[in-house]
Amino acid sequence: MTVEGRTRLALQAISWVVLTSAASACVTSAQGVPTFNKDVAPIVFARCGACHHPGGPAPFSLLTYGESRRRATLMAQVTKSRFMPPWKASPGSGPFVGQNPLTADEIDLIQRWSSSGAPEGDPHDLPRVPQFRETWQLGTPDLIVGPSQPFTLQAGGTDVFRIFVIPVPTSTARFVRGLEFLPGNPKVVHHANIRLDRTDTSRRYDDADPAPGYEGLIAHSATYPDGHFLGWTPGQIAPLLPKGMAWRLDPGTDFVVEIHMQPSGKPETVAPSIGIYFGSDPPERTPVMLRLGRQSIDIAPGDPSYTITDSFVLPVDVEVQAVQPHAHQRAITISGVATLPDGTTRTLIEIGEWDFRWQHVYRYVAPVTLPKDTTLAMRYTFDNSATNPRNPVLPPRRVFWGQRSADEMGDLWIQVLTRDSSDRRTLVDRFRPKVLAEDVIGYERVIQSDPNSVALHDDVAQIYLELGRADEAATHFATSAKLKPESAATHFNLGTSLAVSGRVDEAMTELRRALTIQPDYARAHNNLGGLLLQRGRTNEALDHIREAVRLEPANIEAHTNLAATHAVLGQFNLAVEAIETALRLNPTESVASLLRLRLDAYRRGVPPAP
Amino acid sequence: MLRYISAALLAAALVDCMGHVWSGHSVVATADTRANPGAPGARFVARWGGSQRAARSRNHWYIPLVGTTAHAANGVRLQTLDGVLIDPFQRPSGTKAVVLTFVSVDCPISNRYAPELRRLYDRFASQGVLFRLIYPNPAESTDAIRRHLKEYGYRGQALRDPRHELVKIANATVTPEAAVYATSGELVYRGRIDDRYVNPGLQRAQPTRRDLEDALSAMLDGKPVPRARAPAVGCFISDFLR
Repeated sequence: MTVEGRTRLALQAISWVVLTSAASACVTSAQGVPTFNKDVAPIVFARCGACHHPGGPAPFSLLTYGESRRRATLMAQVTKSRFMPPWKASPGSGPFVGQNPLTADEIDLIQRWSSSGAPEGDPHDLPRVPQFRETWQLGTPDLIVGPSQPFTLQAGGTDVFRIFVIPVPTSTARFVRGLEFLPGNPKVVHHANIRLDRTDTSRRYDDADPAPGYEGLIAHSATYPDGHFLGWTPGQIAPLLPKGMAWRLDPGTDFVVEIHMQPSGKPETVAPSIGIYFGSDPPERTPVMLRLGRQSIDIAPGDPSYTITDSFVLPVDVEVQAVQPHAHQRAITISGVATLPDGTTRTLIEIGEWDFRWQHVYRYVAPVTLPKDTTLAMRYTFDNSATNPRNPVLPPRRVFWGQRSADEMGDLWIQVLTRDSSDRRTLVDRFRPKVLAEDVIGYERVIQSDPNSVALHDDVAQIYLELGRADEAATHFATSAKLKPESAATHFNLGTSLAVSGRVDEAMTELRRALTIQPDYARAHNNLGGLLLQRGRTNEALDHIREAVRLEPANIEAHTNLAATHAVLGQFNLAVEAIETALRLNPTESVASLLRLRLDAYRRGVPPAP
Repeated sequence: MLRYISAALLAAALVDCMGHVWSGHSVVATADTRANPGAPGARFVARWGGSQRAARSRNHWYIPLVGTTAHAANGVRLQTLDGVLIDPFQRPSGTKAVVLTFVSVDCPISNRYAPELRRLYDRFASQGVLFRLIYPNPAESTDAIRRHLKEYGYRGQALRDPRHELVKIANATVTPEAAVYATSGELVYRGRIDDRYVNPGLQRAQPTRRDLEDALSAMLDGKPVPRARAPAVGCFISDFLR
C-alpha cells in the first residue's frame, strides 16, 4: 500500500467519525434545549469561575443560576466574539499554560441556551459549585508588602496607569521563589507590571508626586529580576519557581509596580499587596530575558499599517520558557517567529487582534528548544488611522515611541534558559549591547520632548558609558551639569565620563568642581587621584586617594588606586597591604581575580602599567 | 427584498400599531425596527417641531406616549424608591425634555457612565431637561438602588421598572440606554449615551460622538436631532426578567 493510499484511508476514517459525532450532537439538541445545571454550569465553573466569582477579579460573579441567567445574552455575545474567556494568542502558537479556548460546540451551546430562554434545568444535574477564596492562591506568603497608603482612583475618565514604589523590608539577601499580586480592588485593577529597582531612582520619582505612587516612566534601573517575568493579569498567577531557579532579592531593593486601572464610575480606593515566597536555596540556573523591539517608532497620522521588525541570532542553544508581547493601543498584529538553522520555523506567538488590556505572559507547556544560530524575529503592525477605535488620539497625530499610553511601544520579551552559565555569559554579552543600543534610541526620543529632565540625561549617559560611547555619555552628563550646576554628582558624572573618553584635563576640572561643592565626595577624590596618577603627579594623587579611603573605607576602587600609587612610589609593602584590604571587602569574583593578579605583581615588585 | 420603506408605508404601519396618529411631524421619528421588523435599512429622520405645540398644552399633567397604544401610554405608573406610584413622564411646567436613562446596579458599563450622566445633568437640568433613572432589574432591592445612587453620585429621580412596562414603551434594550422625550410625547432619541463602547470588549479612549448630549443640545436649540437612534452597548435588559 502506498503512503498516499494509507493517508486517504485514514482521512476517510476520520471524516466518518466526525460525521457520527455531529449526528449524535444533533440528536442531543433535538432532545431538548440546554439547561444551566446540566450544560452551561460545567463550562462556567471550569472556564469563567476563576475570575467571575464573588469578590473575584471580574466585575461580576456567574457562579449561580441567577447570576448567569441575567447575563445570558451578554454571555452568548462575548463568547461568540471570543472576547471571553480572554485569550489573545492564536491557536497556531503555543501550546501555552492556560491556553484553553472554548470549543465551537461550547460556544454554540451557550448561544442555544441563551436564545431558548436560559432555562435552569434539573437541580440534580448541577455539578458541585467550586469554591474560590479571595486570598493567596500560592499559600500564605513569607512577606507581604504594599504601598504605604491606598490610592484613590477618580470616578470617570479613561484608563489610569500609576506606578507605586514599594520598599522591601529585608536586611539580608533572600531567594525568591514566587510573587503573588492581590489587586486589593479587583473591580478597577486591570493588570500589574512589577519590576525591581536596586537604585533610589524610582523612589525619587515617587517622592516627587504628593499622592501615593506616580504617573510617568518606569525608570531604566527598574528591571525584571535576573531574567524572570513579574506581573499579574486577572486569572493568571505565575506558579512558584522550581528549586534552583529562585532569584535573588537584595536588601534596599524596591518593587516598582505599575498598575493599570479602569475607573468604575465612582471614586475607588486601591490598595494592592504583594505576597513574597522565599526559598532557602540560591539559584543554580538563571534565565535570560531577551527583548526584541524598536524604539525608533515614528507613525504618520492616518497610517493604517505601520510595521516594525527586529531580530536576533542566538549565539548558543536555548530553551524558550515564556514570551510576553508588549504594545499600546494602536498595535494590531503581533508576531514572533524563530527560524532554525535548517530553515524550519516555529511560531513563538501570534496575535491577530492585539488588545493592550490583556497583557498576558505566555508560558509554554513545554519549553521550546532552539539551537545556536536560530534567528528570533518579531513583526508588529500598528493602525494610526481615525477608523481604529482603539486610537487614543483623534484626530490622529504623529506617534513616537514612549511609555505613556498615548505613545506607542512594540516589544517582545522572550525568557530563555541556556545550558550552563558559560553559555549564559555568551548570550548576555552578545545580547546586551543590542538592547542597550535600542534603549538609547528611546531615550533620545523622550529627551526631545522632555529636554530638561536631569534623570533622563543621567540614565541615557549611563547606558552610553556601558556601550563604550563615552563622548555621547559626556554630552548628556554635561547637559545634566548645566541643568543642575549646584549638584556635585552632575560634575562628578561629567568628569568621570570625560576621563573615560580620554579628555583628562576637562575631566579633572569637573572633578575639582564636584569637590568644591562637596569636599567630602570620596569617589570624586578617588577618580581625581586616579587621573593625577596617570599624569605622573603621584604625590597629589596620593593625597586625594588617601582622602577617598578615609572618607569611604569600604571603597574597593580607592584601596586599589591607593595600592597603585604606593607601587608607583616603590612602596610595595604598602601596595600589598592595600590590595589585601580590598580583598577583605568582599569584591565580586571578577574583581577579586583582578586584585589577586595585582597582589602577585606587587609582591614581585612589579609596578602597575602606566 | 425590502430595503427601504416608503414614508407612506411607514405611516400606515404606525397607525396600525399605535391606534392613534400623531401630527405629521412626529410620524417618521417614531418609526422603529420593533414596529417594522422587516425593515433593516429604515432610516429615521427626526424632525423637531413639538415644543411649540406642547407649550400650548402645558396644563396636561401626563404626556401621551408615542410608540405604543394610548392605553399603555397613559397607564404606566412606576414606583419611586419610597413606594409611591408615579407617571414616569410627569413633569413640571416649563420642562423641555424628559430623559429616561435605564441603568442597573452591577452592570460595569452602566456604572462607568455615572460621571458622564452627572455631567449631562449638570449641563442640562437647569435648562428645563428633566432626568430620571430607570432601574429595570427586579432583583435589585430598593436599598441596593439607594446605595448605588449615593456611591455613584447620580442626580435625578430613580424609578423601578420591575415588570419592564417602561422598557417596552421606550424599547430600551440594555443598560445604560437613554430615551429622550419631547413634551409632545415624541420619542426624539433613544440609544447610547456616547460611542465610547464599540462592543463589550472594545472601548475607545474617548467618545467620538456624544449622541445624548447632541440630541439634547439640538432640542434646546430648536434644531433637528442629528441622529434619532444609536445602538447602545451594555447589559441586556431582557435577561433581567427571565
